[in-house]
Order: sequence, then C-alpha cells, then structure tokens
Amino acid sequence: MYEQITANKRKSFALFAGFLLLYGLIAYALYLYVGPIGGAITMGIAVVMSLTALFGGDDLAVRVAGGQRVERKEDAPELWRMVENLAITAGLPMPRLYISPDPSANAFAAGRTPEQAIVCVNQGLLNVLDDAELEGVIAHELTHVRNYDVRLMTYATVLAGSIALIAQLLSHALWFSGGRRSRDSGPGGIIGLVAVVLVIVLAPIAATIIQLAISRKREYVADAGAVDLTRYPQGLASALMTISGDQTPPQRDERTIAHMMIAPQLTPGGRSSALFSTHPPTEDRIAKLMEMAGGVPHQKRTPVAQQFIEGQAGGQRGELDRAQSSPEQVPAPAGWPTGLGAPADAPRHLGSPSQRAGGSVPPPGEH
Amino acid sequence: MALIIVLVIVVLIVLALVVMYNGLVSLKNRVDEAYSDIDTQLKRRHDLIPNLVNTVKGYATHEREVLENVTAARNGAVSADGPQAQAQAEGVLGQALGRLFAVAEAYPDLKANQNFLALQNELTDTEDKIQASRRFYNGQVRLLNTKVESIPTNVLAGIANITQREFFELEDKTERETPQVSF
Repeated sequence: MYEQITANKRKSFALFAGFLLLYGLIAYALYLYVGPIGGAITMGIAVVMSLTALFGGDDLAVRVAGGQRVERKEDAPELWRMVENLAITAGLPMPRLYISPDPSANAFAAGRTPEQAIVCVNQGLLNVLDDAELEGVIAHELTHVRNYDVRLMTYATVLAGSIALIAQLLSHALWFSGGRRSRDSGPGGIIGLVAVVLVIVLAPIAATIIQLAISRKREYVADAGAVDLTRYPQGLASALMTISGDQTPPQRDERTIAHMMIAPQLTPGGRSSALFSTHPPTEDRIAKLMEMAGGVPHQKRTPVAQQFIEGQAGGQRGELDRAQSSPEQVPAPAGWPTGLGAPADAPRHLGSPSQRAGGSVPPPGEH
Repeated sequence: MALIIVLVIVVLIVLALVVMYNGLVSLKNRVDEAYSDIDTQLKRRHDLIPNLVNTVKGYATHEREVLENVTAARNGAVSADGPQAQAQAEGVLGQALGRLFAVAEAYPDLKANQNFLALQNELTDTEDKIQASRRFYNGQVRLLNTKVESIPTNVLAGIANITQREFFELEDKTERETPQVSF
C-alpha cells in the first residue's frame, strides 16, 4: 500500500515535470516559427493549466460532473454517515461530498491530498444501488484517495485536457493555413507544417498520459482496498454488475473525467468511450471480487434512493434484514490487517457487513 | 577506491536505518492517534447514555434493574483504562444496552417518543463509528506489531523503546451472542 502511495506521488511529480517540459518545447517551437506572441500564449496556457491542476483540479472535475455540495450531514444523513464511517475505517478525514443530479450510474473521487479530497456520487448511482453496493463503491473511491491515485488522476485530467486543447487549436489553425497555402507558400505554410507535426506528436502524448493514470493495476488495487474496508466483496461486485448493466446515458459530457469514474462511462450518445479501451474489463474485476467472496452472491435489496425516501427506519430495516439473511455469520477477527495482502484470505472471515467489524456491540434496536 | 565504496555502503546503511526508524516512529504515532479517535467515539457514547436512561425512566418505571445495569456498565466503561480493559467494559455496556432496548419494545409510548428515537439513532451511529475507528486502530497496531517483531526493525524498536500494542477487541465470546432476554 505504501509503495503504491510513493509510486503515485513520484508519478504525479514526473507527470507535472514532463508537462512543463513539453510546454516549454511547444512554446519554443512556436516562438521560432510564429514569433514571440505564439510562445507567450503557450506559456500563458501552461501557467494557467498548472495552477488549475495544482489548486483547482478537483473543483473542475466536480463542475464537469455538475456535482452539488452536500454541506451538512442533515442534507443527506444516510449517505453522509456511510462516507463518514468508511473514511474513519480508512483513517481518512471526511472528504467533501457531492451529489450530481446526473441519471447515469457513476461516481468518482478527486483532489490533491486526502485532506482536500472530494467524493462525487451521481443520483443515477443512488437510484440503482442498494446500501451494501453503494458502500463498496464509496470504499473503492476512498481507496483511490488514500493511495493518492486521485492526485495523479486529477493532474492527468487537467494536463492531458490542456494538451488536447492545444492540439485542437493547432488543427484549426491547420485548416485555415491549408486554405491559404494554395495561394501562396508564405508563413501560413510553415505554421501548417509545424501544426501537423505537433498534432501528430501531441495526440499520442495526451493519450499516454491518460493511460499512465489509468493503469489496470490501480483499479484492482482500489477494488482490493474497498474489500478491505467493507469486508464484503459481493457488494462491490454486485455494484459493478449493476453499473455495467445500467444503460442510462449521462446527460453531461463527462468524457474528460471518464477515467476517474468507477466504471466505464457511456458518452451522451450512448456509445462506450474509446478512452476506456485501457480500463480493466469490468467482468474481470467482478470475477476477482467474486473469487474473494468465495462465490457467495450478494442479495440485492431496495436501491438506496428509495430507502432514503422511506426514511431512516427503512435504512435500519435494511441493515437488520441483511444481518439475518447473510449465509455466513463468521465475523472477521478484529486484528485483521488493513494491508493489501489481506483480501487473499478474506472469504473465510467474511460476515455480513453489519458484522464485519468483528462482532462488536450489537446495534440497539435489533433485539 | 575501496575506501570510497566502503564509505558509500556505510552511508547507504545509515540512510536505510534512518528511514526505517522514522517509519517506525510515525507508525507508533499513528497508532496513538487512532486510539484517541476510538476514545472520542467512546466518550460520545458515554455522554449519550445518561440522557437515554432518563428518557426511559419516564416510561418504563418497572425496569429499575435494567436501568441500573446500564448506568453501572457505563460508569465501568468510563473508568476503564487501556485497550483491553476498555474493550471489555464496552462489551458489558453493549450487552446492558441491548437488554434495555429489548425491554423498551414492551412500551409503545416509549418507542414513539421522538427523543428516545433520536437517542437510539445517535447510539447506533456512534457504535458504527466505534467499529470503524476500532478497525483502523487494529490495522495500524497489526502493522506496528509486525515491525516491532521482525528483523531488522525489532532492533530499532528496542532502541527507541517502542513496544507491541494491544488490539482493541470486542471479541468477548458472550458478547457475540444475542443477549438473552428473560421477560
């Protein structure tokens, strides 16, 4: 786990340094071929983007997703409580919580440090997942926070986005210069040539950066971490199954933050995003989780959104039902390690989520 | 030349030792912090109980013994010291509370009381948080104990006087079972 954190911090730094270097080169190239103004504009964009990545990347991601801040516990007590308890289990401060009204089933985390982390949940997710599944998803996101995946992903989002922006600007310039070139072979031709070269070079670089951020391993590690927090692999497995089966397309274009999402995201048109060709196949993640669960499937219950409407009593009933219907009642020993090697022997220790902490005080009201 | 190689090796070894030592110290501090997090939640639980007892008293006048048990268990939990004693006392308190809520089932007026419901919810929430912080604490203790035991960090731990810590376990066997209620 700590190796993962160190590696992520190192990668974040390398990403940032590489980005600055790349921008320096672009600025220099534009300075040579277009003049000081081209260089200055590029440097300006570089500075703005760096500052955004450092200080505003999380807010930017939330804005793309259209998330609304849950300011107080009273606004969404069940969700708040769930996030709060999982954060305590993970040893993290309570992240800022957002709910996006988007009907697609997805969630993401962002932020530079665990102290500034945000967790954003789509309404669509609350509509289709029950509490054990939602717990799995949030635990997955909190593991990204704990492992500093979010820093790397937030940087990658802003920086790769800016490179894509430049590439796009240049390709527009190319169109115009292309038109001019038929008349004369002046500076327009040179700009066009530079632009062609840069677009050819930049596009794959942007793609590489995003691939760097979404290594397959990262998702598997976060899944394992989520199991470590909830001790209920079935929950996350069932959540992933539900999410990948849910075909509600997002209302917003969330492609720029797609790699931060819990599961592959459909574009507003309903097509699956090309970015996700590098994402680990959801079936494989589910298979791994079910292996940890010892093949015992999750028993789906009322989606969270409906429970919230029914009120707090509904939530408590859910908890009670689950405790009773769970086939295994063997609680995990309290000394169960939080290290990532742990889930390997998870199936033997799994109890129902309400018991997973090792048979603590039975919640009052259940007797 | 040989001197330089020896020097480099010595410097590397010293650096490695410093890193290990610092890791050990920060882990120890994290365990302390995690324990104080449990303590915060336990205190919140203890603070809720007098209120609960007073509320129940107004309705369930014949349940003096159950209420006294809860109060006694609470006082025992407040004065308990150290993870093991504390965990045991909390286990007793949990049992007493379980009995209280079981008894409350027989009083419809009490069950409809807003104050009682709010307290019950608060207690459930607090117990969830005790579980959560306890699990984080135990995870950190596990890491620390492994380091204190394994080579070569055990030598450093000896020098720094960092010892193994107790787990915070509510593993009391009687507490695992549903409390027996006799009506």
